Amino acid sequence: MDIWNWLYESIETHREKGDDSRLELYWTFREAMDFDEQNPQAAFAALEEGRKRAAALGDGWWTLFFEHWKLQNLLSKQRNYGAARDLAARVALEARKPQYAALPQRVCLQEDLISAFVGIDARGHATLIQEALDYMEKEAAPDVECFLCLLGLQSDFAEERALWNEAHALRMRLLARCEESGNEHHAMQSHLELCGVILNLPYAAEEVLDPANIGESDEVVPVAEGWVSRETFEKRMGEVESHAIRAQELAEKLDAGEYFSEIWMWRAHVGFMRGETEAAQEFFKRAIDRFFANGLLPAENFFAAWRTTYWRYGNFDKALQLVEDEEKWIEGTGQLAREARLARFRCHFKLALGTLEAADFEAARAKIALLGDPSHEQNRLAEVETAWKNQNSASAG
Amino acid sequence: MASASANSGAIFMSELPHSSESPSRGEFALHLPGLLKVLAEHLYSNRQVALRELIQNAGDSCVRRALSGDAPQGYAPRLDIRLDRAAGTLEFSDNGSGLTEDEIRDYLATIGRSQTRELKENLAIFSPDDAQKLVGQFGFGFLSAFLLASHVEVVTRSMQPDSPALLWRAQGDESYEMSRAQRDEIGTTITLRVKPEAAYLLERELLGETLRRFADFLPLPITLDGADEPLNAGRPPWEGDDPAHEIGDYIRARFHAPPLVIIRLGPHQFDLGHDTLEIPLEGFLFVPPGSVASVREYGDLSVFIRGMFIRDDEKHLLPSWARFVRGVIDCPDLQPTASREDIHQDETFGWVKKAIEAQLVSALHGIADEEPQLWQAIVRGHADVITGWAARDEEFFERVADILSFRTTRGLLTLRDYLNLSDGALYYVTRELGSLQEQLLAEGHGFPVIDASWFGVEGCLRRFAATRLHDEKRVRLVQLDDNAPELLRAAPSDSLQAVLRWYEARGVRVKVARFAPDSVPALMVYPRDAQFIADARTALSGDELPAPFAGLIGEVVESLPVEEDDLAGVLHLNLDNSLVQSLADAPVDARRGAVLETLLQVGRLFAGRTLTVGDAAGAFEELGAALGRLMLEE
Repeated sequence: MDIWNWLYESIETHREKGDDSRLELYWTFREAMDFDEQNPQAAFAALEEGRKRAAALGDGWWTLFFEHWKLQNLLSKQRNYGAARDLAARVALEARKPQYAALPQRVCLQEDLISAFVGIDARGHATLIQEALDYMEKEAAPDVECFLCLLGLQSDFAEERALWNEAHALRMRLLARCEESGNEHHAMQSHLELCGVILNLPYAAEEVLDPANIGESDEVVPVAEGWVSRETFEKRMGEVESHAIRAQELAEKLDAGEYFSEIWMWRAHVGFMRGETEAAQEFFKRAIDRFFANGLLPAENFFAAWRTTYWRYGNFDKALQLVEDEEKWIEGTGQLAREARLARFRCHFKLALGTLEAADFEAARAKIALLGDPSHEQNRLAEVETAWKNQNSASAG
Repeated sequence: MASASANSGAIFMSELPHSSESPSRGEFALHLPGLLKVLAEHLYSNRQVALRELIQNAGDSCVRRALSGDAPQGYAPRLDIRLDRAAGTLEFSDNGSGLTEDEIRDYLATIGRSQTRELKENLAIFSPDDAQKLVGQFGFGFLSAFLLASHVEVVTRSMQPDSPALLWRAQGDESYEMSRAQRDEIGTTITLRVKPEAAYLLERELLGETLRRFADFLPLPITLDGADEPLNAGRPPWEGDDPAHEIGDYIRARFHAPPLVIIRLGPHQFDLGHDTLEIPLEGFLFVPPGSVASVREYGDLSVFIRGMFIRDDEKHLLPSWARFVRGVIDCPDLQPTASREDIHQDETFGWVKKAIEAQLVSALHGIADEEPQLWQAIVRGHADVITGWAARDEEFFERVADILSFRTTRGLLTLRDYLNLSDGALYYVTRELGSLQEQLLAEGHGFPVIDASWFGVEGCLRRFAATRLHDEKRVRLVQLDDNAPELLRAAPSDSLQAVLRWYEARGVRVKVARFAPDSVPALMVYPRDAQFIADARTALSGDELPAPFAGLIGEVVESLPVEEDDLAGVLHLNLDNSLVQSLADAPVDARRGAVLETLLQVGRLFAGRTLTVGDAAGAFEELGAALGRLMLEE
């Protein structure tokens, strides 16, 4: 039985018994969901009210039901992974008790805990996360929605570690599952995630060309950090566009307005990359308008698409400004790995602008030092440092 | 959120150099493809609204036919919508007035010219009731069809005598085709070849839901695939045979909540001194059974104009404090925007808002005066929202401040009743209550404590304290949590050195304090997170968690900034307590040791935290042993 079956069966039972107090819990949940998109803090408060009501009734299952949705709110809407981690640990601890052995939500709560760690510092906790995911794969029946969440989580984990081929394969597997089960919500999210994965796929698939090997007659196209063949470029952009369009269709159908800013940002990105600037500007404006109108912080990929567009066109000052804004927006949300990445990007763009200083490296190192496994970021930062030193010695020469 | 960093520097017109030559005149040019694109793709916020525009066109067409006097006897307007998933088409067939060739050119193919608006203007003076039946007015709603469709085909036959059937085709660019067609029945059929990105509307259930949402109240039966029963109600619930019952059912179905009270709205007259102004208003307001938290607010209306749905979540037509009220209204005087997704906030809007507020306030006063139990239920159910708004809105605060009940350690109390129990101060905690110790300590000071853990309560208390007097004195406001010295005051430990040594020898941290009530000899105080850490350690050591999760939870535990020494709790001995005083200045013999053991175990049990079942059993065991020793000493 998955969580929705449990929910609807519970409602029917409460209705038959005339248990208005517990029916009220359901209405509270529905009302909270009404707020979820436009005012996630209000939705969170509503869910907390529901939790308190359930606790007052001594109903542990309903209490954990609300806790799970509070966690979903923190993870997906507020993107506050630090707060989610602390809450998820407490809730997972509670859920271990024998009275919850048959609670369908138990799997979701465990996934929430993993999800929080993935969002904080996936590399730093890679071993524990991997073990937990392996354990979950045995726990979650393939025919329930939890399994889709699990595949999504596995893909998030791969993306966080820049394992783009693996992430791509997992997302495609998830899409196939969604197709089988008719789960359009997960499908929409996967199409969107795939846009970000495909953007990075050339680096994993070694499609980025070595500048030394590019001949004069070769038709190549610049991407963020190198060049790819025209053929690869068209293929990848075509894929991103078709995923973005499919995500748009599903988002419209599901009336999932909070995803539009990201969808339009991807469509803008494709337009800009192809040089179709008029259409791209239109999508970009829509994406930005929606972003500022929403009370939600979009997924990291929204910024990746935005930033990469600047990068591709050499607008390093705007890319830097965006990085600084993004740093402010995620402050206090516990996203340690993302903060370290952004500190590195800051160095990268400042290097391109010729304004990079030793203090920027210090700041980046301080962020990287907070990571459980800093080696990846240290290596990437070292590449920037080498380029900086070369730049300095060239200018001194 | 911060400002968009993507904005490029704008060049303002005033910054452009001015010429001294006399200006030449010019005319705006129209770029038709661009205009079509803007109207068809950007005027509306989503694709579904195109369905509303097509329904409305069909509805107006049927009204035109009914008003023409040429309609056959017993004319029953109808609109049938058919979907063909395989072909990817949606078809709208009405038996309205149809279109002549001139009407197609003048209205269908002329942007900004509306046949309905012109008819409405003609009817407005001599037949205003008939004019009100017409909804359309802008003349470009039809363009919205291109939101959904790549190709649009219209087959129509006008009610005008000897009008031929016509076929009109367009693909959303600046041209269209028109030719003769085959059709016997008067009316219009519009076929849309649906774009791939709008293909979801070919799903029957979704289409039905969307149509019902827009046209449920419209007096035009709409059928899907020729079904016998229309999918829309055809009238609002307040026009039903049993309006009260139907409105109740409507609220339960649409808003998923049984209402505490329903307030009917009706036409409202304003006395302007020299004249009266009547606002033609229909609908209802209702108070849902409860709100969820003080930041969880309603205060929203669903707005219809002449039976056509315009929008949900309209928050400007209700007073800002009415966040515990929802409703549905229909007012023909409201002016929709061109996309018909919003309402112009013009002078009429202001009058409608005043009419709604007047009827709401009158109804609430009536309930408060005549049905106090219902009013209590409303205030209780929406305490959080009401307190939140009372804290923010001075006018609303004045309406509810003296009747609003707050959660306290002695149950729900109004602030007036609370002040009669306290010493003229409002004592509150922002943490959740539930700790017996906290409650005991507060009551020890002789006052109940207000639970201000909900957003808004504290603000409301502040406003109350700032604006009210109690016994002609200002009301004080005292926050008790995070204010330990208020409840536990440090005291000299000199006289209890032997006692402290006895506890320390057993690994128990202990402090000497003074607190009320003095009948309590000792309390065990734990730091924040102690319960979680203790639970986690128990689970981890007992292998109660799957290994990977134990690892993840262990990482969280390690990250918490808690002093290891404090985790077991700190026993606070009350120097104001006579038993504790009797332990002073004397060595700890076996009898005194048994007393100290008893105090420790009672303190642990009373705190009720960080105890496992084993701990509790152990505490009782120690307690029993100590009491046994005391009995032996006797």
